Amino acid sequence: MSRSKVGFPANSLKSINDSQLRANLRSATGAIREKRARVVGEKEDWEKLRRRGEEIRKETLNYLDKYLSQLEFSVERLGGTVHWAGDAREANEIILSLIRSHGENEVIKVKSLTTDEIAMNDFLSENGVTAYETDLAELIVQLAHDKPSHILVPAIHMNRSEIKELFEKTIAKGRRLSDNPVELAETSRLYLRQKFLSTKIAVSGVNFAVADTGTLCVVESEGNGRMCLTLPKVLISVMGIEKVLPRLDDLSVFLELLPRSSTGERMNPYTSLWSGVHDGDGPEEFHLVILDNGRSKVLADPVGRQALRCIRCSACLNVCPVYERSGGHSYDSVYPGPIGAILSPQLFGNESSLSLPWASSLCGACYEVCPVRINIPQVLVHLREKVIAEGHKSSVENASFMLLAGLFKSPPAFGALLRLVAKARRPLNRLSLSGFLPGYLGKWGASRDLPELPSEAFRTWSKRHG
Amino acid sequence: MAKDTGSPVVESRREILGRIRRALLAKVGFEGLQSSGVATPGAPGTPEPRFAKGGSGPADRLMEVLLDYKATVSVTEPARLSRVLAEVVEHQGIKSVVIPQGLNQDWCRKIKGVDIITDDGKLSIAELSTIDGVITGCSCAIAETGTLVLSGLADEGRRAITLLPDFHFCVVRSSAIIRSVGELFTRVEVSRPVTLISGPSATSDIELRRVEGVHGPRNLFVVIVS
Repeated sequence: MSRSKVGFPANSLKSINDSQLRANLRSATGAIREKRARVVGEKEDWEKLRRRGEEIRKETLNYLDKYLSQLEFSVERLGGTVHWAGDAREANEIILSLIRSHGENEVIKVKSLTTDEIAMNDFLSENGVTAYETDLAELIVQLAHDKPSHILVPAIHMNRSEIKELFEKTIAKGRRLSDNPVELAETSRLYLRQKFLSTKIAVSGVNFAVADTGTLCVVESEGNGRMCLTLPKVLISVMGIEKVLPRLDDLSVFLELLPRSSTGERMNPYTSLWSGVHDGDGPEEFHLVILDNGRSKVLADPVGRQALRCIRCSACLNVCPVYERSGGHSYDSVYPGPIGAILSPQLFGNESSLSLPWASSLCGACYEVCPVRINIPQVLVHLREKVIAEGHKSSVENASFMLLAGLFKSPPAFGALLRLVAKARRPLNRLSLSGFLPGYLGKWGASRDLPELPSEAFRTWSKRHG
Repeated sequence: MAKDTGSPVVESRREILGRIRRALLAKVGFEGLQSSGVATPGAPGTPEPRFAKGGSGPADRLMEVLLDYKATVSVTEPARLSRVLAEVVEHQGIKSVVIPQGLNQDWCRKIKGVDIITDDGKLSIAELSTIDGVITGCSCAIAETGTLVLSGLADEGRRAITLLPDFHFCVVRSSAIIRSVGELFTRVEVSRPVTLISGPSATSDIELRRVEGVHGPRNLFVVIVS
């Protein structure tokens, strides 16, 4: 199948023509870029922190089996139970059987990309269990039967008046709301309060898990996370195998890197740390589900592996010119934006995700802001090669590049090409001015102008001028 | 978890760890196996970071950042603490506050007209959610990020008491103020749950504009005791 018919190119066509969406994205990403730059600028040792972050994540991945075993030991010693899930289905079944063993049919949830990745809510609902999202943006997306479009702000594609209308149709039926974000947040507070007080089981993701102390960490803003982690009787946390950190000291590095990169704050309002089960404080039962779901396969690729360093801050989305114009839904993955473009094809490898390594201009802005220095452009190019090598290639493109390679390898042939182009200069320039390019080049030319061809090639000119 | 061999759980564990080992053995780059010797910035023993604004001390910086988060901050001396605390609490027009069992009773002795309920660990979630406020100490406070650190000590209590009431009054001794996050784990143990609080609860989920006050306490009052 041609790469242009499915996946990103087709999806993004829709969004680039949606002017409301583009306005929402432009204003939101612009605001957060500014905030991030300001708080990062405050840290004189920011570059050192990034390098330390990179180093810790590299070390973690290089000894991942060791640190996971250590984490398991630490958590179980402190009264938690560890479960291992090879893929999404196994994880979902473990979670469902835990919920059923307590005779419950409702859970409250803290925003978690990992549970989105395994489509846990859908699986639970098919099995008679309702999962209530408690993060404001996740709640908005859930009520709208929509999909998240940003790692950190899943409802970034919706503006306040769209959210007001949604609430008036759902959790504030029959009431008139204003589009003031304060009132909208208050509406969600009242709706969720009862759920927090009465629900027996919570499901959360994990931001970091410390191997040596068995300490789990969830970072959030609203307090819905604290509610879910503190009030229910049973807590089930789901983490990808890469979320582990070796030592407690390492955590402090990431507590500096993450909020500044993510929401552009010096620190997020709430960070919760817990280690197993604590007598008289919080859940009486704690389950940690450690999920592979393709990650060990990514680990085997020495270039692509760095994608597993990601701490899900979303700084790369906010600076990406492609994300800002095409929006998160174009990536058709839980992981959108530049990080999604390198993570999704490696994790999922479906036809649609294989188009993502091309969803970039390789400008490198993502690499510059990444708090763990993932060289996203490098991985993008690597994955392009991989996708082509695995046979997902366009025959026209392939033939063109073979022809070009032949010409570049032979100086006489290259010289002849240049002379030919110089001769055909006038008709070629007319053609490019008309905005029409024939055949395969037509799509490329639809949004680009060819530069005007000079009367003489540089090689000829330089030969003449010695 | 039952460790009987052959159960699906044990099987998954072995498979996942096996896959990881094979992935690492196939192509383990030497890069990263060696430490490049980058010290953790902000950790004890590394040079002091300069605060962005002027040469103010940690307590001033803490206050500045807390105010930026829309918290209310007072500074006082030990002899005046109970007076200041009483003023701040009474001024809110609230009816009740909960205090952890280990809180210095002396701090609250001047509070009038507000029920003071000591948490014996038996108050239910429903009961706690009807209480208006909570008064606690804290294990330490991080100046650079305006963060209060609770770690379940006797004058901080269990997590639910600082979560359900809408007004949190937190007393910070200036000796407990640390410069930056890098020092956090030299001061705080994780054997009890730890909560880092940086301002009242907030959300930026609507158009990325910060709104103070969602599920956690919507009003945060900090009294710094020098």
